[in-house]
Amino acid sequence: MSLLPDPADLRAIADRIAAHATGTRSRAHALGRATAESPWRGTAADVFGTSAAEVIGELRRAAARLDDAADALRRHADRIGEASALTLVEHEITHGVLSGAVGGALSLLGL
Amino acid sequence: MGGVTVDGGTGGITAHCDDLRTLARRLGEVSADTLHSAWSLHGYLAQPVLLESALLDPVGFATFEADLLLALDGLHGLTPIGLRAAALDLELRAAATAYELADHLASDAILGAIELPIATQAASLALARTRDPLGAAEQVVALDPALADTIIDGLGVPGLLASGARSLPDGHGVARPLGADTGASTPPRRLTDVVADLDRRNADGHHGAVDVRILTLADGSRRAIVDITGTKSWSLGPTSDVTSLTTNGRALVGLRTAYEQGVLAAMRAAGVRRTDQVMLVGHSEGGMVAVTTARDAVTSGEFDVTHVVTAGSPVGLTVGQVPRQVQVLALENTRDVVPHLDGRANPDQRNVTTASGARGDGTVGGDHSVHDAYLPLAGDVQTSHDRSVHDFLTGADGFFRAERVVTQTYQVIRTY
Repeated sequence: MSLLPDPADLRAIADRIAAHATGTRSRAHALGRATAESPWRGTAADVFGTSAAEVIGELRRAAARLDDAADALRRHADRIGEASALTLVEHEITHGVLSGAVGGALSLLGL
Repeated sequence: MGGVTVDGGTGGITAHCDDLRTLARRLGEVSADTLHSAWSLHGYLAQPVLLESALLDPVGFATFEADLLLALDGLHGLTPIGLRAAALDLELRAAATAYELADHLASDAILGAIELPIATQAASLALARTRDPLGAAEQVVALDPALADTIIDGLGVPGLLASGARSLPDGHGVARPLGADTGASTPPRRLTDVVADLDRRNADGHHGAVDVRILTLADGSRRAIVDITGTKSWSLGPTSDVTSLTTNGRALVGLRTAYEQGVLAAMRAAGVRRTDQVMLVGHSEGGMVAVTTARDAVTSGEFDVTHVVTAGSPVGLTVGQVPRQVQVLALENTRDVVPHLDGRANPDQRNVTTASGARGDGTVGGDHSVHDAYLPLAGDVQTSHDRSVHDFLTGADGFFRAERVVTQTYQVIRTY
């Protein structure tokens, strides 16, 4: 059993974060549609429209940031994968060299 | 052209508050979902698999953690956005409540308690000056229609009329066919045509005269317009004349009437189908009957009444009972005392638009007349840019696009 972190677990987390980003975009879209379709008109409605537009814009930017975080985690998972593979190779090599040395020594001793 | 004041309808206070609350609800959902999302995502920051991975790639781990923290709790992160949406939700709900409170404070119920002594004094002064009760009432109405409602309600006029009418036998209404009206062969194209047709039937010598017009559109679909004429009899006793005061008293408070039975019978006799959209149009008492007929026909499912137009009708106590899918346009001449006999302003509802303007010739009869007051007022309303009026007329568009019309006339009479 390996004690190294599994990159697949990290990528699964990245996918869930990306799903939250998609949900956030959907909420921004739904709020934009509700605001546009509202029959409410007038100065107060205009003021509200400005505030709602800011919230919608911020939701979209937050969704983009979540995507950035998901991408950063995927890159991290790639590097963990590479590091794990390297560690495994080193382990194999070390294990092979040691096994060879021990075997050689034993044969020299005639055992 | 006279000025038109519009209350209620899709541009009214109630519709306005509904719109605010709909938006507030949407913002509340966005807030709750966004905050829940932020809360869930915070959990990933300390996942064991991530913490373990930090030993192998500390820079990559730190980059991810910084990105996610910024997306969640940064200046424009999910958490502050969720809180801001919640604040907007609360603001909108507070605004809707404030609008309704202001409207309620301005309503007759509140004004009545404050202004009744003043209103009574104003009416008394006008009466002393003119020695003409109706003339005094008209002066007060012209001066301040809301004040007239206050006076009439304060004097208990609606209750007196209703209790008097309840004690009188109303009998049963039947529709006697008068034949086809070949003179009414042009389909209506606008609101004024509809009111002009009502005026034409109203001028009929028959008391309780009713038109049922079957309109056929280019696509073969049908509409029906029913004209219901007003009071012609001032009798308080039992009479076959269905327009007598018994009907007025009962319809004023929303009781079923023999006149309504007769109107429904006329619609059946003329062949109005359950699938035909129906517009009921009534003057004065006819408008009151139109409102109760719409309520009962839609509730029973017998007819698809979609629109009601009243002219000079006191419907403040009853029009709120009309199902929401029925759009009502109430025309009220501000100089006419009759629409104030209910002592109550029409409710502000999405489906009830009250359009008021000053028309008529300054006499009691002229100010209540379809021809002299309500036909010109309909013209004013037709050209109004008010949203509630526009939405009503747009919704009634099918009634103004017919290619053919066949008009049957009836006289509703009361039997015992």
